[in-house]
Amino acid sequence: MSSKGLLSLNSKVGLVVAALSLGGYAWTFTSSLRTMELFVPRISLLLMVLGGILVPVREIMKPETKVEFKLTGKLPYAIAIAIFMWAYSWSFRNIGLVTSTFAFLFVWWLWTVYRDARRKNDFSKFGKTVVKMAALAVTVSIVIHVLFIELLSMYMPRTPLP
Amino acid sequence: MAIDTVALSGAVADVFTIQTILFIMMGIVVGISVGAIPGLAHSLPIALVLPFSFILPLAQTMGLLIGTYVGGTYGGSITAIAFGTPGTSGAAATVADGYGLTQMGKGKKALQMGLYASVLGGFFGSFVLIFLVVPIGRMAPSFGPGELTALYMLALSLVVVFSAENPGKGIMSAGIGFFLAIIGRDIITGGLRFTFGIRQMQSGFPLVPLLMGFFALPVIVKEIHEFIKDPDKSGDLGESILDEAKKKEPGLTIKELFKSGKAIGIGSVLGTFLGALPGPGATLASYTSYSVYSQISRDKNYGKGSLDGVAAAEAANNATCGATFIPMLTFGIPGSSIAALMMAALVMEGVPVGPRVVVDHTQVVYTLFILMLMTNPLNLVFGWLLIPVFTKLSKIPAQVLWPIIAIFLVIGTYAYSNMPYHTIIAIVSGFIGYFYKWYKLPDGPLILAFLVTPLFEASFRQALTIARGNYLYFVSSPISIGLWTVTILSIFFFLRRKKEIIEDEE
Repeated sequence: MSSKGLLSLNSKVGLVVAALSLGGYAWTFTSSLRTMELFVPRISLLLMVLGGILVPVREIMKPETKVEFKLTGKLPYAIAIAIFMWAYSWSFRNIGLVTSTFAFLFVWWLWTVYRDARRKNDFSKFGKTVVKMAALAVTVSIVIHVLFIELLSMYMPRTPLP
Repeated sequence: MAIDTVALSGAVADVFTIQTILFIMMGIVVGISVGAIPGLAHSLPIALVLPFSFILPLAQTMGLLIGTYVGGTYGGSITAIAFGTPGTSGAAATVADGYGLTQMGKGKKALQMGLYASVLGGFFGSFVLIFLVVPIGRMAPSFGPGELTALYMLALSLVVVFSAENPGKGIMSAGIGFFLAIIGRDIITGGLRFTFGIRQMQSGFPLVPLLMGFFALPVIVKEIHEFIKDPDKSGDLGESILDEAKKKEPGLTIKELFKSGKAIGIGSVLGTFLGALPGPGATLASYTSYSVYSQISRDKNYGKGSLDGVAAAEAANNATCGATFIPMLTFGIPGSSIAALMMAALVMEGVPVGPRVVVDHTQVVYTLFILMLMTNPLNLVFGWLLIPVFTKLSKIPAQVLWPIIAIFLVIGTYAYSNMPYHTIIAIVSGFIGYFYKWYKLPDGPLILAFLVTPLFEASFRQALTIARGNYLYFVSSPISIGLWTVTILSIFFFLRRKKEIIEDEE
């Protein structure tokens, strides 16, 4: 949102957080929990309301401190990486730690090497680099196996490990 | 306490043997290496070597354990500085400035500052352990729920002061920290709070996956995004790693070290004090020190890439190592999980840890003192030797390094308790961290509030139960009154100081 508007994106986000927290605060009065159990949760929600309101108030009182920022387009990357992390966690529990670590790393590196070679239009070192990266993926998989399977099975022998 | 020369000479003879020194060295190398791996807490190697206490003499066992503890506490800062991912929760406060310096091309300086501050803080904590073990040990248990509430209020007030530069965002960040901390079972009644029907959430929001995801995921996203958008910025696979690593970075100068002396001093004092109290631990100590120093620092880069920030956090972090032994040796109260492991090792060696241990097992106590003092210079040597290795690792191209870090993050959070739920928590925390980075929220208030809230709530409600709802109980003892006075004065002092700094800058 541009600075031409009444409120910047910074202030709008602050107000959204304040509104959501206020909703949460109101919701606590419908909760079956006791007053003492809700003491700290209510403080936390009120702090979020206060903080969210103070953001636009500060911008209005001190316009020189106005912060302008925009959505940078990293969110799709964050979602993709989160999916990758969850997929890896699922795979090592189902196909084994070494296999999944090697597969995930090698597929990623294979793609980056191919992308790099295609971008530079130079496939002369492609095979050699792929072998290097495969060797690195094997090494990382072995290190992870030693650290998280061998050591942890000594530390917690009865724990089911991937 | 008069020095028992016979016990002291016996302790010296036990410690200054080739075997004991080798075990200390082994402990430090293992501690630094494991501490530097996100997800492998340094309590793991300590627990792993614990069975050695059945077969090794006391000095060697404790040398190995103390070496691992001190090395691991320092090791956590290496990945915090080099990759923006804290190896241990105690190093989380080092991330902002340490990684900021790495991004400015001053990673070596930051790693060296982290090492020197850790060693100096560790020395300070060890000296305090030796000279004040009895007086401080007596003071800690005199903190009842009322006094502890006042102490935690002091820490929480620092949260607000910490965010004085942008009060709205600081308060919002603290509120989020409070909220995350109360998810799960109520500590007194067992009622479920904000678990939304998810069974795993009954045990609350776990600290380690929270910290790992919160700090690591936004950095991974940023680095992978940069690599995909601008591949030329990243080195070529298999080619440029060594070329980049060969480039020499300037190290820390004596002048820079002296300039951060105040930060190291404050970190050492706060780390020792908080380390001596059961509960707060290294993470809270490093964050408290970091936030206190932020109020007096004139460094414009504080929070973005300041050597003072690294010094304040790391000195406090390692100062807790010696101080943790204070309640353990005087009253048999282990102040942290690691202290509990140390205590278990001592018990297995046939030392009944408790109020009489100083009188009945003086030689053992002296042995521990000497081991603590010896561990710090050896930590300096091995840390110094390992810095170039970790500096080189930070030069590895993004497309190679960050997928490996992501894999360590996932497997580390899973290994923490073998629950896929913790991986989800790390991912969710990563999104919270991503929002923090995007919205420029300060992370200090969140972490400090998250750590202090359970302690504060427990003390507060215990105090109210004891006092039958009478709020005057919170100001009924001289310690409480003193702490409330310090809280109010520190708020005024820091706010005034902040205003002066802003006026000076204008």
